[in-house]
Amino acid sequence: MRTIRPLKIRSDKLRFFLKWSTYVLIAAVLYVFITTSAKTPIKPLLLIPFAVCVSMNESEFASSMWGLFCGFLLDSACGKVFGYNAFVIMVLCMFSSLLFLYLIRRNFFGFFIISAAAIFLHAVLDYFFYYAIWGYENVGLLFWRTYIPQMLWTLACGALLYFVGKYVSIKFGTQIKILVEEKNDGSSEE
Amino acid sequence: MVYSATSGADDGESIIQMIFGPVQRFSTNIKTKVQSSLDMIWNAKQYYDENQKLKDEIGQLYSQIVDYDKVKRENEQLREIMGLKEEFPDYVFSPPCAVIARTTNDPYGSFVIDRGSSDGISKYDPVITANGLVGVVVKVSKTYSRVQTILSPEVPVGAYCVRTKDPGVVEGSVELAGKGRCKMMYIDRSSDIKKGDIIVTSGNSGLFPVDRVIGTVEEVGTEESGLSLYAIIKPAVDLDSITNVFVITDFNGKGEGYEND
Repeated sequence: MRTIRPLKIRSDKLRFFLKWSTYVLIAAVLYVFITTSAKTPIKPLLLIPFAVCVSMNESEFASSMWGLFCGFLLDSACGKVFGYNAFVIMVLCMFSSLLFLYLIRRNFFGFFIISAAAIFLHAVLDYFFYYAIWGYENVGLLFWRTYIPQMLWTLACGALLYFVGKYVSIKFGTQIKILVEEKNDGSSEE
Repeated sequence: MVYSATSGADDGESIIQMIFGPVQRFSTNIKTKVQSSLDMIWNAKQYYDENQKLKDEIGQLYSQIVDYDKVKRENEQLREIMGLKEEFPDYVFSPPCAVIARTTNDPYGSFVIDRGSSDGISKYDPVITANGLVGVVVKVSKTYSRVQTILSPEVPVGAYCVRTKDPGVVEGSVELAGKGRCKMMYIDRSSDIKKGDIIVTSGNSGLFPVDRVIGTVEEVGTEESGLSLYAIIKPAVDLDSITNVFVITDFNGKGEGYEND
């Protein structure tokens, strides 16, 4: 299996800039993808798993800000009140970042679980605030016909984003510095 | 010689041809290949220049095709506007609008158009095509607007049946939106409305111009309460595949409906 090696960039600022630029670029591509006219009735909301994916490798503050950004994009894509998705995804990203920091291992399984939870919570809140509380006739149909396929579709397609996020995170990540302590007898110890 | 004199020269020649034919073919092939290879080497510069010239020409032709398509589409849209203008001289149209994005996973099929307030569009302006009513502008920014379709329960339209003159309200519902249909409600119980009847806007609300086609009746039934009839309407416009629309920025009776009195 091929190992991903970090790019040899000395400047931390440049590395930071390149990493976040790449994240923004990917988010922009996903935004265009979900808003482009297509015959498919349901599209995966790929920005949610991608936001979770980034928060997996970032601090809680950076994750929250990233969630805010992805949420604003999602607000624009879904025609929701500007800031609604931003707030929801910001909170989801903050919690997922903390969970990855303290409780859950940073691997594909962990990502899949947290991603599924985030997608489910987002869909339930969206359904509740935008349809259920307004009392439209046969509103439950909407959950089965729109939200369930949307969740499944997002989860299935979003799983691939784990690899994209991991690749970017490692490529532009900080290189691990191994401290080598010289022993008095000449041999070295990590 | 004796043989050729007695049996004819043609046979000898054909034997020679038979023996040397493949060799000749082979040598001719080699010669052609060598010649063309040498030609490529000697005239490489000329071919390169010709290639560049042809590439430029192809590029120009492509851009001409794109321009042609754009002009053709604009021409068609302007023809539609002209037709509508002749039919309804009081309408003031925005420039032709293209659908640039679909609202993600919206059950009612709302979409975004490439014109906004800088083109004279304002909130609640009606959106149409030459075939009929599409919906209403629900959000406007400087350069784009969001359009909600008549499949949404949030866009009730005052309407009447052309044949029977029965009034009603056309509204979307969660159930029918999935099938691309909407519902005309509050039709008088004694109405003769039936399948195939054409439903048009009544203009009562002051939000929509009068007599714009909404769709045709597909099914008629009695409401659960038994007090009125309802009709399932198939919109005249295929809302799933529209790519261009017009926004009516002004018309006779705009804002003069009962809701604004």
